[in-house]
Amino acid sequence: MHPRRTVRTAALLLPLVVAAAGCSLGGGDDDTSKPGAGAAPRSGGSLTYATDQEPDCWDPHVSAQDVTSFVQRPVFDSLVYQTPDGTLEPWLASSWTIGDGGKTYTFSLRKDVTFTDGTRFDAAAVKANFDHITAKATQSQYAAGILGPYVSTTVVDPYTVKVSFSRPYGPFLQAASTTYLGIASPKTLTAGADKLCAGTDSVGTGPFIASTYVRGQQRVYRRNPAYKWAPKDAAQSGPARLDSVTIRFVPEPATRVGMLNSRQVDAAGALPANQQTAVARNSSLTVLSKADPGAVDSFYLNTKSPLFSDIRVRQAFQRSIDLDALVKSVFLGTGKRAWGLLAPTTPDGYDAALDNSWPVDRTLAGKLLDEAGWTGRDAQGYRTKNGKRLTVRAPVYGQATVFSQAVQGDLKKAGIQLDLEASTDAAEVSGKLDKGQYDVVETGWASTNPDILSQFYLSTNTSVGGGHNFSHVADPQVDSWLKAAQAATEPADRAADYAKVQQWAIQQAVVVPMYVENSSVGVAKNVKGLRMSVSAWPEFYGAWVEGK
Amino acid sequence: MRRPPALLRYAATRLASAVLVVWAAATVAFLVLQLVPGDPVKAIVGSHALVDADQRAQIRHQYGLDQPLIVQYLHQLGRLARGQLGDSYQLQQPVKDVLADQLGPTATLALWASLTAVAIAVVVTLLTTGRARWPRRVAQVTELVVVSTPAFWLGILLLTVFSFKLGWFPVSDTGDPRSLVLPVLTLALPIAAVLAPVLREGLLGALDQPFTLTARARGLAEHRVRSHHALRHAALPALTLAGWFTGTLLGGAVVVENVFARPGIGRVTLQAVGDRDLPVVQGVVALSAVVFVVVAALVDLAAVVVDPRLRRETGVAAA
Repeated sequence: MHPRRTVRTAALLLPLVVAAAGCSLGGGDDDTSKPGAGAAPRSGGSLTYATDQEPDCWDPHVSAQDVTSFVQRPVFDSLVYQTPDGTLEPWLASSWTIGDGGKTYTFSLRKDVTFTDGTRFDAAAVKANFDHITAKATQSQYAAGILGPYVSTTVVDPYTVKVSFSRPYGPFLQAASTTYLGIASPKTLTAGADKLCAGTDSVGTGPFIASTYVRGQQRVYRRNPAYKWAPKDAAQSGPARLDSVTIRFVPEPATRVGMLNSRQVDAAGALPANQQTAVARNSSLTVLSKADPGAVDSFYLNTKSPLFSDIRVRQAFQRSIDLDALVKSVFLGTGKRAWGLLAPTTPDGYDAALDNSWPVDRTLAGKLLDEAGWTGRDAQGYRTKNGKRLTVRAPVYGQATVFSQAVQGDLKKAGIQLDLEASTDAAEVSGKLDKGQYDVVETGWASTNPDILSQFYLSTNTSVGGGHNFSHVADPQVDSWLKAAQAATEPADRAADYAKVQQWAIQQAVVVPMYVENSSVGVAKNVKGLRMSVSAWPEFYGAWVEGK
Repeated sequence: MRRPPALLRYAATRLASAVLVVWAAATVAFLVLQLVPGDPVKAIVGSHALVDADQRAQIRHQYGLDQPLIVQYLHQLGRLARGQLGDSYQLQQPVKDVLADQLGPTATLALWASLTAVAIAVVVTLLTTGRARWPRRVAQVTELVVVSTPAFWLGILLLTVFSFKLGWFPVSDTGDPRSLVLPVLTLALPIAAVLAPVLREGLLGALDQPFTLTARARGLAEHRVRSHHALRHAALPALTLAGWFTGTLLGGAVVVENVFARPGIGRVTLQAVGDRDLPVVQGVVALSAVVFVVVAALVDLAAVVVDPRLRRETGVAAA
């Protein structure tokens, strides 16, 4: 699977099939704009970028796909900007105040912004957008969700807008910085779902204007010459340097890498792990890498299953896997094992206190299993209890990944059988999940918002309701931490609450975080100023191409 | 009362059987997709989405998934009869528009691939049916290798050599006609490799026939004997491969369009299957059925053109 929240498809297509994509923490910076050979930024030129996926629906207010937020970022600006290191700062909103104990957000808007169709950007435009996102007819699959307990948007004056929630909702500012809550020209919002989804009517205030689009092939963007409202910490200010950017949709990795190596494209994303060294070896290319923020790839243990309702067995499972060695061998020394639920690049969510807190310990694991009654051994060396083998059932959609197979081999040493029940029938797999017929589920969810934890641990987010509480956690204390985190307006307070959730989850062994995934982009060396955004996608705004 | 003219009767029968084929394909597609257990709304929404129960119910209602199966089936047939294919779950657009947009590139690819495959097969056949046996041996081995090579691998191989290394052809379509060369070859070579042996067998058989002796005796040049007389006979068995040929083109388009990052029906199909976008899958099935029907009609027509014995007016019974 592609690591990110990409395909919506068959309920489980993605999360269960684990990412094979690679990691290369060692290689490359995440910013090619660092002074190189002292060349001055150059205006003009074009850049062609090859990516693996194409959005199904181009309307970020509707789509839940990561790739939609990436391909529409050049077109749609947001009220708030999140810098690559996670700081939130003004963008289309010049400032904001939080009132009513965190229930209202009042934004003062910039007065010098126009959409590329000539429409003025003002409070009414913002209201029209939030109204569109939350309208039933829009059938938003994600944007309306990250608005949380949203109630309404009111126009205070032509350049002031107030967004209200039914309860204090801290994650809102971060949500407002994503492309999903990007501001489109109000004129286009009435075009109809089919037009908006087709991507032919995308008009925003962004540094680029959506130009020709051929489904299955490419999208062209042209520079917006009037652009002068970049956020303070954007890669530059004023209109974009590139005249045009072209994103090509190249699903086949070998083709994508070949196009990059033969310089038919200037940059290519979603580099497969096994190709990264080859790309890095090419003297005219470099690799940009950044860990995906969000929930790392983890085993979620079903605390309601007969096997894992015993915390001793869960702890034994958690401490039996030699993740350091496995990650090293599978990701060829470039990956990073995870200690916490959230990747280190997740703003206000990473909990460093968990680092090294639960190393592999097979002696301890053996003791716990003995206590739990799994004392027998069968002919294959697996532990047994009352003649029954210690088998951990893991439904897998599609094919089990190399990594989960490695884990399987490792667990055998501890006498635990990991049964990877691979099936190409998505419905069968989702049926097992809904009925709780499993012991572990392997998944991850890339997000820049630490509140992604609520998807996994809030007692109400069960699989049946479309949530991801695969561990069947129903703990009032955890719910209250998560709700407190949502209500907190100070990032530090929020981080403290999320840290409590993560520590609880590790101590209760309801989860085994495994590895942090990287997004890797191969870039020609004459491409400068391309930087990785907070969500680990390239930002084209500051980029330029030398001598072209 | 006069009976309707034969041609009209023929056309009516033909049309009726065409409708039957399309209906059968649509029905089978509907049934097969219903056999997949599970909730289609889950497929529509997907996993990493934030959608509550109310909205799920609304989606179910919008796509008519809350109706009994038989009603859904009849709706679908009704739509199909009106030339409608419903709305895509994922693209949120009429399936008809999606397919119409993507038909052009696939048709171009398929047409060029067909012409190329036939040209290669004919040339290879003419070159390998002489007295000397070694060209035939070489051709047979080559054909076997090409047929046994997966299209995916063949495509990557051609790309690596001619695009990535030599830089003769660009990978994806940017309006440059050269970008069509490698995908067309990838699609055409395996077809030519099946077609050539059939043509060769037919041609060698025809060359042994008495009429060839007659033609030669009349002093016709060897190339005219082959191209004007014998090849016609050889073409008939090859024509019967048309159904397989069409299927290979459609299936090959899925592989080729993805490897070469080209737009087209194959690309949309793969994405729709992956996304469980059932209306698109059903639309592709219906479209394929129509294509098969049209191809079958064209082949019958071509057979009559190639073989005079099939024409009623000649009064000669077909062999």
